[in-house]
Amino acid sequence: MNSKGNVIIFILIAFAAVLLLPPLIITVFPAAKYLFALIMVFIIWSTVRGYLGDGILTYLFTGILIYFLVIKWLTVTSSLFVFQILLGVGFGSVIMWGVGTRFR
Amino acid sequence: MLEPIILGFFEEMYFVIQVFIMISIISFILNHLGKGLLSIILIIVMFYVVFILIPAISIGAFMIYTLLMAGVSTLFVDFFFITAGQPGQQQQQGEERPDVLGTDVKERQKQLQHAHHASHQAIGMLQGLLKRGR
Repeated sequence: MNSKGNVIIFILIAFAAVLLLPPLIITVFPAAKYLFALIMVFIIWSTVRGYLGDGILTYLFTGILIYFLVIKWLTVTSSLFVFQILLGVGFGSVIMWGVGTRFR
Repeated sequence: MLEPIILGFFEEMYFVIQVFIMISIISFILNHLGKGLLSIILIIVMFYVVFILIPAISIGAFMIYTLLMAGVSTLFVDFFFITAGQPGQQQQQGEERPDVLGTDVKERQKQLQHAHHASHQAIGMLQGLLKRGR
């Protein structure tokens, strides 16, 4: 395999490893679940409050989102949260670069 | 065995996206119209459109809008336009690198100056010949 293939494989491995990191942490340290839940609740609350301000609608929508995203699907949401952080620091460019080295 | 879980997950994620759409719409309406009867009517109408009338189109449009706002378009521009014209690719194909230092432009300018000078000399010679002829 040439070096271009190695680049894309390493990027995909790093991508999968980072996405699997929150479920792994939660599995190894069950108490981390509460930490992730707290972070997600804070993010959801601040997001909805930023959109709607203080009011009954904020509580309603925050409650709905917390039920689905934190209580029901915490592992998926925490992985997506880590992915969002990575995109924010420019990890998407790395993926595009790796894909570009393979297909050009 | 996993099918109901996966389908249930996607159905719930659709609902979550619809909730996010409603949050965005309510915020937009309240910011532009304030709290009034018209705002409430518009919010109810948009609620009907997003949740009942055209939920699939609403979700698709919101996803595209969110991805564009998150900067996915810059990634596509990077991939299709910027990295596509890198010099390393041309070197691999055995082609010459483009001249980015402007040496060819300088050479052309020198040639133009020489041609200009030569044309002046030719005009001077012609004028001298014409004067002698008179």
